Amino acid sequence: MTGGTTKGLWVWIGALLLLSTTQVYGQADDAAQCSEEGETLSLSRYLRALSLDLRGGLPTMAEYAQVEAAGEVPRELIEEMLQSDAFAWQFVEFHKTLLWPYIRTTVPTTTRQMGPDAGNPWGSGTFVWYRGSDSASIRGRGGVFCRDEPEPDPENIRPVEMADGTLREGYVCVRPYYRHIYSGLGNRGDCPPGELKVCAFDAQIHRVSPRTGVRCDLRRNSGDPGCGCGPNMQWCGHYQQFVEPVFASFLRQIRWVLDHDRPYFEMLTRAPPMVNGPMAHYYRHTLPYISDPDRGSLTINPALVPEMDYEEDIDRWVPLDVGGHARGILTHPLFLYRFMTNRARSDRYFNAFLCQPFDAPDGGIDLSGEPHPDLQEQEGCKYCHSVIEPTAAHWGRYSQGGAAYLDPANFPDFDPVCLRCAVTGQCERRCINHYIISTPTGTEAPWLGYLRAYLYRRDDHVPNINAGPALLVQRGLADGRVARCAAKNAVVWLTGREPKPDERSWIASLATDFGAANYDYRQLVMAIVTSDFYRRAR
Amino acid sequence: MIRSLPVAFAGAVLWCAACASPLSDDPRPPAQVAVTPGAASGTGPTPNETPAEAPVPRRTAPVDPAVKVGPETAVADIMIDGRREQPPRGTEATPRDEGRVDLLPEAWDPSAYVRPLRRLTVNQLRQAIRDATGGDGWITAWGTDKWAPLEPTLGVPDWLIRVTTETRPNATFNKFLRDAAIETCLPLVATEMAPDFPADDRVFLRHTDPEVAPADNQATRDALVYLLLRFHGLREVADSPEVDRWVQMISRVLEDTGSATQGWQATCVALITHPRFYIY
Repeated sequence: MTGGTTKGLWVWIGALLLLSTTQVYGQADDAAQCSEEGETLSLSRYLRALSLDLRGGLPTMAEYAQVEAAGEVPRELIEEMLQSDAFAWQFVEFHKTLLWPYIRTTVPTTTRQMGPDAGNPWGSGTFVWYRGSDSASIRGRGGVFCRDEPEPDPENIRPVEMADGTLREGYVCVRPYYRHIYSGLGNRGDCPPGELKVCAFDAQIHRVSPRTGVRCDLRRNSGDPGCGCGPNMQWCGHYQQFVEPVFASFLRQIRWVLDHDRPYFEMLTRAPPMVNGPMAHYYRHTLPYISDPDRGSLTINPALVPEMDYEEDIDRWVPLDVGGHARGILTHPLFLYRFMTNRARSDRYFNAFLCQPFDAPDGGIDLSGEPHPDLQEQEGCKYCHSVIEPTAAHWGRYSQGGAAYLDPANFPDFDPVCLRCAVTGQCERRCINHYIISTPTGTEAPWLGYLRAYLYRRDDHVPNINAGPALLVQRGLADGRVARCAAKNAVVWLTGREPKPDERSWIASLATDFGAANYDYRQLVMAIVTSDFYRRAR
Repeated sequence: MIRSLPVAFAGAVLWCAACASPLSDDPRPPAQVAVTPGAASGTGPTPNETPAEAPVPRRTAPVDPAVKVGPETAVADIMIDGRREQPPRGTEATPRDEGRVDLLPEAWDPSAYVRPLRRLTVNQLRQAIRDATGGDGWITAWGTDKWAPLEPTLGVPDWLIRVTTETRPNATFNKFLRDAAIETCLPLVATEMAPDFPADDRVFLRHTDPEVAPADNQATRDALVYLLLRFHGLREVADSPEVDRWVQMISRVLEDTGSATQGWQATCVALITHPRFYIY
């Protein structure tokens, strides 16, 4: 291609862009002036819109031919789209707009980090692996790794004092549970293939430190000289290693209702947690390691998680048979960490699944009343908090700022130990974290020794705490709000705008049909995309 | 909304006035109506008479039983073409098919039940380019996706700082769409134009003989019909004005550059950057 002709092509492309843009926008303007009612899409454009909304891509040429031959978009073709895997992912994409699934800096997805001595320039180092952050307590200085020679007796590590004053041990060969992002460095032939050279202190597998007696399966003790990364390095990994698996497990849990033809609302409180190889490792080893028992119990008992291969099972997702407290996306760690307070959790639920935002009234909020510690009573605040406070209590058994579960066996509604600590001031961390142990305003006294969720709860709201989000969803189902909001949300998704007042009765009928069809989401979408409304565009 | 109600109502009245005449059974021109004070009532069909036409349901105003209609209420007769209008009392209504006229519009808001045309999301755009061109889409030489690092710029939410998806066409979007189109189309067409490229594997030039330069002929028009359907979902016939425009475009590129390859490359870029591709 010569320079001259290339330039000619660019000129043409530029002119075409300008022409096409003005031409179509001009047509759009004309259409807007001439047609207030919008134009019904042609069959082929209708098929294209269906395919983009329901599968996220364009129709095939065979589908265009099928539609042309039939003189309509056959219902079977739409059914086929709705049954496709691509539709399930479109469903997930849409629910991201409701659930705001941010994860990167919220969920604790980083365990004790391992890294290699790759050297400078990269690849010139010893390739020994170590935990840089624990070096100071083990070797006398941070960021220091071990000697590049085998440790003679890993059960009885004898570090050598170096000229720089540090104590450095040798390495041992270890087969890690997964391929680290830098595993490609290899081991320079010092270990069998697939194994890494790991500094002997970091390669220790003790569950209890032989030196101090502390538990090695808790991250807070990782600096103990008797604690390492555990068998196959199971407690260690790399930075944000589990971000993608945790995120993917959340999305899998959303689409579970479609994958199993279950009623839509079961996504909220019935869908089981899903695990693949990395998530199984996360629930079995990583989460117990990085969690603080004083903060609460694990939402998922590691014993209930099957052993899966980290690498081989990365695309195999299986449901976990766990209790109701760990089912549904409203108790998934991602949701709990994304919305860290119970009020935030309730607020998101009301916005996304009941279509009831907590907005201030027209004219603003009256803040003229006397201050009151109970926001349900405080003038101005109570406009919203009379609903937020009791509904937030549905998450009263989940830690705030975390995702731990406050199981009744270890965290009873009322704990005399915590009441005693309120009087004596000698408190365990679990009381400080989760129980009412002080009366800064004097009004909290009746709830001393109770879980925090009990504070200012009326008698009729107390059951919310132990019933969890499931009861909240049940109430929304009973009065039809969940169905109406789901119908409205689906209309917003597929039409691209908020409904207008004239359309409310139609949405109400969609919601009625949706409920009558046992919350069959595909049927709801079918009703919308086959309506004249969907096909009339401007 | 409130302000539009009177306008809508007035529109409905005017519309009904305009359509009243065609709905009448009387083929004569519209009658001259005169009011004669004190005129008496005439006669009408008896209750036993069979209606000339079968009754059809129609919308009627609700009847208030409290309202009594008697002779004392008749203050004037209405003359129509010299004949007295029949008084309502004692007259059996004869249902007639007057068409289906709704006095109230179904929707007060004229934009109700009309969905706005929307721009593709980045995910849809990524997939649409792949589907249309039959390739990997806009990727680097190493095979990584070029849209991914642009997502924040193009309004893809991160669900922390931004929680809504931006789908308005704007200058930034058009810039990167053009980049994507150029970087996708130029190698695509160049590859398919190669003499040794298997004809069965061609996607863009499926209905085109690469060895024949595009011109205003049936083959070029057939190819454009195929491409308009594949890229825009537009079903056209070969001699339609829409196809005329594309033929004109490709012919002029050919005149300017003398290269069939560039003619088809320009067509490909224009198809992707056309709003009909990214708005649906």
